[in-house]
Amino acid sequence: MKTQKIILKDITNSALSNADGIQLEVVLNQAISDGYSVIISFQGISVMTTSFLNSSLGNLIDKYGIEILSNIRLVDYTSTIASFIKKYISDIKSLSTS
Amino acid sequence: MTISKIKTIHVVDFNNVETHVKWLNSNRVQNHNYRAFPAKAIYLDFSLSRFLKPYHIAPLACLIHEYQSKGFKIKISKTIPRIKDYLGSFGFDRFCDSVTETGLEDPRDQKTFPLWLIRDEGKEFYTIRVKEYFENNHFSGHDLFVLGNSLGELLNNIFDHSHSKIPGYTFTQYNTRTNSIITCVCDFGIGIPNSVNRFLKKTGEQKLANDKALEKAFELSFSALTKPHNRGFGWDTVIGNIKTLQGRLLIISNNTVFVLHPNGKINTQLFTSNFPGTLIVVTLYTSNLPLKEVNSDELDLF
Repeated sequence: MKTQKIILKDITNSALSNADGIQLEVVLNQAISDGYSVIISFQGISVMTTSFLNSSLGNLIDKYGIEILSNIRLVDYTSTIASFIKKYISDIKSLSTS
Repeated sequence: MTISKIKTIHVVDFNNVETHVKWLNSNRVQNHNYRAFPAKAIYLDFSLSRFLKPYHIAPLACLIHEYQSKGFKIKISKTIPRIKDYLGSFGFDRFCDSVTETGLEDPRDQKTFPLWLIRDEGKEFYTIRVKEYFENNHFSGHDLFVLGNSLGELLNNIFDHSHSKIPGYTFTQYNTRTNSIITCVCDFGIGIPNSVNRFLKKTGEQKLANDKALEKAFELSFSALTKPHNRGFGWDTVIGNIKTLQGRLLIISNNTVFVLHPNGKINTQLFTSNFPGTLIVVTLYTSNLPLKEVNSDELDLF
């Protein structure tokens, strides 16, 4: 599978709002429909909210199912951002099975 | 003896929530006695204040904003020197001159980040700026993700749910004595219990008592769904952040007070006064902040 690298800072100034999340969702959607696996670089991003994740990864999961995440990897992330995203995904998984 | 045509509001550093809320309600512009005080001006008298905290400043800012939006001029009339210094250190005097003067110039005292009129278009910039300000000035090498994330979630909440007629205010301060960062967000909106009950009514469910309605808002995946993108993860995140740092959360909304204590114990209480919106005070203890680490290894999400 071909891989596309997305540098989050190139498409949005922050990872805090729904609008920021939608910008990432659009790029992810395009890459996935074109058959790419994706690496997202979080370089320069040090804070994030659930609103951002709802409108990016959350919408993607709604559309393709949780397995879509196997096509996405992260790089250049802080430990706190990684823990935050992992917790979000874990919450989505637990809610979908409850 | 001449009677002043200008009302004086005596600002008090209340430590009791109910008294503070009663004071706030009695001094709101909607209760202004135009017959007794026809001048469109207010004096703020701080001579009774000794230890003002962020949770006094943010609601006071909302109060002033209400008066200013009705054309009132605001003037600080009396203060003791220490309080005058404190207010001046984050530009409160300029704020009283005009609420539009809420620029983000650096304060004189590096422990305080200026009062900010919450605006939808600037809230991302503000959140990042506060986080970086405290990281750079006090916590070099440490990661204040929890502060930025909590503030970001709370500000998003205001725009999604509060329906406030006036914008809210936020204010953040570092307390070196207790090693804590106190961030405060206040709006004069409909309040969380009212928002939850409005949603329950819309979905045909039974109305809850306000304390139960407030607790309902914190349930993971419960959302008053004011906007389609709401999924009910925000409050769980804020509470998780606070628990991680053994911090404290105080929420006053409508007639309900909610406290999450550092030991994890929760108290919810109903009282007779009604806060005109929501006041949230997050206290984060900074002795256990994680170090900032950037990883370049690839991380699988699934």
